[in-house]
Amino acid sequence: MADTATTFNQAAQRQDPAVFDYAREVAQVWRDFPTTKKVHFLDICKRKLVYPEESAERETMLQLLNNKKNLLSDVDQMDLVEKSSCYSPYHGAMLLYTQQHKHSFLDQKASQAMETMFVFDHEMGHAVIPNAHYGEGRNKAECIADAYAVIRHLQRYGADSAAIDALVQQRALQFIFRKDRASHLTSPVTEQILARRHEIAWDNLTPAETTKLAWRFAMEYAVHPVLLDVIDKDFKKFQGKMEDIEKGVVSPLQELAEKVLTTDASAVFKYGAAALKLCLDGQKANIILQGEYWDSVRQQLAERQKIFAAQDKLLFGLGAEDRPLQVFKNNVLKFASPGKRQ
Amino acid sequence: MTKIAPVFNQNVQRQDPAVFDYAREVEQVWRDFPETKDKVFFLDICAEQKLIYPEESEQKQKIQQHIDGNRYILSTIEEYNTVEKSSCCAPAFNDAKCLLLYTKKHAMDLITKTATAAQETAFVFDHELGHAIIPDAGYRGNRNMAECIADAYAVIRHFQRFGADSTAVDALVGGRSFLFAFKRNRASHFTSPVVEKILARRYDIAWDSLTPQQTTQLAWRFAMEYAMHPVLLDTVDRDLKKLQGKIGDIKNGDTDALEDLVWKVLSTNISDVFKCGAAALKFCLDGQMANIILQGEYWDNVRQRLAEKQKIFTAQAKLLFSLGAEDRPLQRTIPSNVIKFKP
Repeated sequence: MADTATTFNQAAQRQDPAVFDYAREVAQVWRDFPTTKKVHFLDICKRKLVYPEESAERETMLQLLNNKKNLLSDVDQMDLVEKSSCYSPYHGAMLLYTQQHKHSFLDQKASQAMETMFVFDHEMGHAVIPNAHYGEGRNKAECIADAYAVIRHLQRYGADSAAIDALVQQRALQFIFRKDRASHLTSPVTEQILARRHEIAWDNLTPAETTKLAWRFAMEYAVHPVLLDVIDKDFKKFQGKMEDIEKGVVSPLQELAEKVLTTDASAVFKYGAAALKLCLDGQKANIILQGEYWDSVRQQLAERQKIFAAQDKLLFGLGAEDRPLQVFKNNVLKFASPGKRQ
Repeated sequence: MTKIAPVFNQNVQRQDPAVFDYAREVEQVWRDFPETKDKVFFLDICAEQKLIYPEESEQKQKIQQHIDGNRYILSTIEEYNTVEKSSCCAPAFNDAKCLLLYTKKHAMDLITKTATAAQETAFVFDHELGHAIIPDAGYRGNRNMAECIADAYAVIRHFQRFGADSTAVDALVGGRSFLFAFKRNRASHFTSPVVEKILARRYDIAWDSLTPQQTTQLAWRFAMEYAMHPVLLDTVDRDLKKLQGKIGDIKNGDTDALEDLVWKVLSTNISDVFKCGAAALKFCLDGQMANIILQGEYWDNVRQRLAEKQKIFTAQAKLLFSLGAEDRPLQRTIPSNVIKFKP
């Protein structure tokens, strides 16, 4: 097992951020997870099978691929419309979009190779980890896949790599504004992994341990479906406005600012604030939030985030504004007396 | 809202552990949650006069007539009184709910066995009330979540009633784990992860300062935050499958099923299976189950090995539990402070 770990990480550690070599990655995956030799790795931008071995199996695979019903239309859909990637258990294929994805996942300064690498690892997570197929709960599957991709990112580029930091906010923004959003709220899981980036020796994990750890992070921190449904309903009115935002329309963000600055629901505040901050920090191209209004939003958000961080998250909004928490002599948190209302 | 808080807690704080006054509790619920007055009906299923409605009115007679003519409620009362010896919150008529409270000793100990019968009844009353009044705690949605909310509410109310020092609810984590491991249809009551988190913060939160509405909100939040995800619940459930339905044997003093659990707990590499199994086992080792006395060399050895494994479990990050831990113990390296496996 230790040998495998060394191989696994020697190949992957401190990878060149400017290079994504699909064939090399597939060869590595075959070594780490031999069962994936049956997976069709496709570069959908080039309409090409990536099979880094000249053999009879390759020819068989190509034949199989050409006989797959609907595969070509799925490839067209992903390449021309979605501009995105997926792992299809139905086709047994990874459909990797190797150009700039329609929606970003990483920091805007990350190289395109890093982004493609992240997406490759994410789709690999779907392919190799139990419960990561859509049939077993879509959001849970996405959490496992993202957890795996984040851990792989830390193994590939080191725990200090800041390129992954925007993921928590990117997923929150997409959850709030995209149409099919309720299936990708992975932020609670990736946030926990990033919070422990310097506490776990990522490089020492074997491939099997890496998948296990991704699974465990997802199981431990993914939002329960009942809560997900509650949060989803609370953000309903924002659904489908992602394209407006991509075009530079700021009114949906103003609505979000109002929601975030007035809500008493901690989850709504938390993910709303994360999404808003991504835009306020200039992480979205075409979105420039400047002027008196946005300065005021920045200030109010910072104040609220301070309260949120200082308070027990579970107590957020339970009369907190007029009765700030304070520590008493017996170390029990109490609400201060409600001065204004008495 | 702030005015309600003192009333809510003045009345119930440091309640006499020996007394459960059903009528007084119902009056309190009417004051705290007035909107529920004619939507939740309270029955003492052990008593001759079952309806608890501490007010003489025409409404009381109407409700009584409804109950007397409702076959579903009558048969549920019969079942819970004679077979289950337990309590429930059942659907009534016109979207109303019926809280069927078994006011004698319940078939299963839920809280510490040294707790008074009145404390146990109060706990069950609060649990069923949680089902009746808190969003997402009804049986129509996710059942395990509903139970988590109800238990969270009952534990918080226990602290409000008897103080954060009261140890009567401490056995609940082990008790629920035990039932989850051995009872049939058990996957709907695995509330231990939520209860554990509330107990861990018993001195961090001023329970007495919460209004009734804040109490229900906080119970909901604890459950939403810490209830086990259904996929994980299913995984743990499957792993403990072969123990299912053996609770009758254990109650009769048969320890074979417990030995199966010992094997599972001491050999598993899955942290949640270990955690749940160890809690259930400890519940029995600590003598919380009547009729079960676990003594002798074998059980002393189990105690020791369980303690050792728990030490590893506590020392390691839960998420890293047994990822090569046996041959490569985790250690802190200098100066990066990164946990590494020994080669």
